[in-house]
Amino acid sequence: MNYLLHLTIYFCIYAILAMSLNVMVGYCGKLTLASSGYFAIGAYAYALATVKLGWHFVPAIFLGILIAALASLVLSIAAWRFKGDVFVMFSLAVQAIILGVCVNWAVGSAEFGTWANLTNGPLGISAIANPVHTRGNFAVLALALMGIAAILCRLLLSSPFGRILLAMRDDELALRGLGKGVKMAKVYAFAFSCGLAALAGSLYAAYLGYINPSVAALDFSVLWLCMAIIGGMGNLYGPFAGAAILLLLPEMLRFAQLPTAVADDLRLLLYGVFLILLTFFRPQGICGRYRVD
Amino acid sequence: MLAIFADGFISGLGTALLAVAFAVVYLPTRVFYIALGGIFAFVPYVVWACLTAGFGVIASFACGIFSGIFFSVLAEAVLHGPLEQRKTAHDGHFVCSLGYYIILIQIVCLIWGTQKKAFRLGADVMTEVGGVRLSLAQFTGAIAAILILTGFYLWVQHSKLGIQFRALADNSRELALAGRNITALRLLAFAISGAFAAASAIMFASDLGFHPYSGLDAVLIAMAAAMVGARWSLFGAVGMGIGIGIVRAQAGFVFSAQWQDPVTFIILIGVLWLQEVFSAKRRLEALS
Repeated sequence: MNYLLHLTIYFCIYAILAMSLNVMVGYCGKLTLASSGYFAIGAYAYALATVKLGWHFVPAIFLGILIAALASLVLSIAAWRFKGDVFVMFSLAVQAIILGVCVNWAVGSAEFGTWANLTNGPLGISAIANPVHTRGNFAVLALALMGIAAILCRLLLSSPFGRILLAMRDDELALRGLGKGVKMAKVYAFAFSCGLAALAGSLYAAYLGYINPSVAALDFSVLWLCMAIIGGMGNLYGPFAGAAILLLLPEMLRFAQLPTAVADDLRLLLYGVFLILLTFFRPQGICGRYRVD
Repeated sequence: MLAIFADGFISGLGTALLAVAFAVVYLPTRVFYIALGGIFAFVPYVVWACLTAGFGVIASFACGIFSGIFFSVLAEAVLHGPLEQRKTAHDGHFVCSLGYYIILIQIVCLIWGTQKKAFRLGADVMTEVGGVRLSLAQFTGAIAAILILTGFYLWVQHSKLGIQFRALADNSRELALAGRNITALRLLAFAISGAFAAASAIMFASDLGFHPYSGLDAVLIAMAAAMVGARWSLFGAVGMGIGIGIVRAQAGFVFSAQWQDPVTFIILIGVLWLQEVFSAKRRLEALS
């Protein structure tokens, strides 16, 4: 039972991340590799707020979302000018800088949590507060947050603003010709998307009780992008399918009685194969509508 | 100070090789060829396997280069070529290349494991050039990189095929209308890319050792160099690659090795912005 609850919590975290990528990629049409950076912003903000400032769960989560939304300006302002491969490169640069900050904002002798040693460097932050004391309660909390995120996505993306995003993805020039504010639409959409990534990061930090700079690693961005693409984007169902596949594939490999390391490598290998097969045979992913082709 | 500059210059030559590998595919095809990271990671293992099987150094390096060419040509023949025929957009090529990268890396992990390896046991032989102490791997790698880049420059500038190759990068559609075999030229571009990536991988692996995840980091820096330096010219990538190598060495000296990536990417963001701000104003329809 405990293991099922553990899977449920991870499913919620992945689904929120997939929803975040769905807004950025599926609705705005901007491929990004910076998602792990914004995830890390949420995780670190939550950790610092609870460990050093003694804040409660809800305000700490909102702090992470706020900082990530502000930091999303770097990406959204870049998206005013850059598109396609150059934007991917830009997002990669943002991710590298956030990872660099997580690793390096620490002077060995300074006390953790001060201006000189904010992130505690490669050692990371431990003893992060968990708002509930049992795994079952945490699963309920994670499900509730995932539900709120899904409702927000539903409301936002089925609103006139959501239709502006879709139109911007399909033909930005035509939308500008109609007098719509494309620049601010990008700012709002990116802030929402990065805020969701930060929410997932906060949840992750609260659940594990420990984070280190590896949460901002590029490998995670790549993995989560795979998850979003495989599940599908451009609607509300794709992110859940992506999260389920990311979670269930290793569980299925468990039945093959393979050593853990081999099963991990095989799981990633299968993601690679899925990506290629989907590009050829189902560019919109398993449940999505937006074709990444 | 001179030693740090030389160190940066030599590592920049390796990055330049990799940046050219990216640019020779990116300029004519616009494929964001992230799978180069997989090739970069795979090749040193092929060389290492050949060396441990008793092959000579030259034969092992040749096997490594051929494996790079093979994997790159395979990417075009099986993935990007068919996708191009389906008129797939750049994002589709990127996702496919990402899938190929993941497959190559995981094959390396499954066959050889994830531990760091090296071609030699113990410290390298040191040599002194112009008052700067360099390892033999650095010295020979630098000479090889300069020879390869010079040879490529001469081939592109002066041979008939090289001129066709430049034309492919400038305007592939017009070249096709002139009756040239675009498919063969694209295959050639991928083959050159694989060879350059393999040469760069061997150069870095000889000096620093290698592990399966070394590919992505190296290739992303090279891609950044190519995106900034080679958006309009093949050899801008060489200059930018060397420049990045020197900047990274200085950043490692002034701050720490962990600041190398952030400093590199901050500078690249700055250069991209400046390029965009000071580039000629485009017509509105050109922006879509």
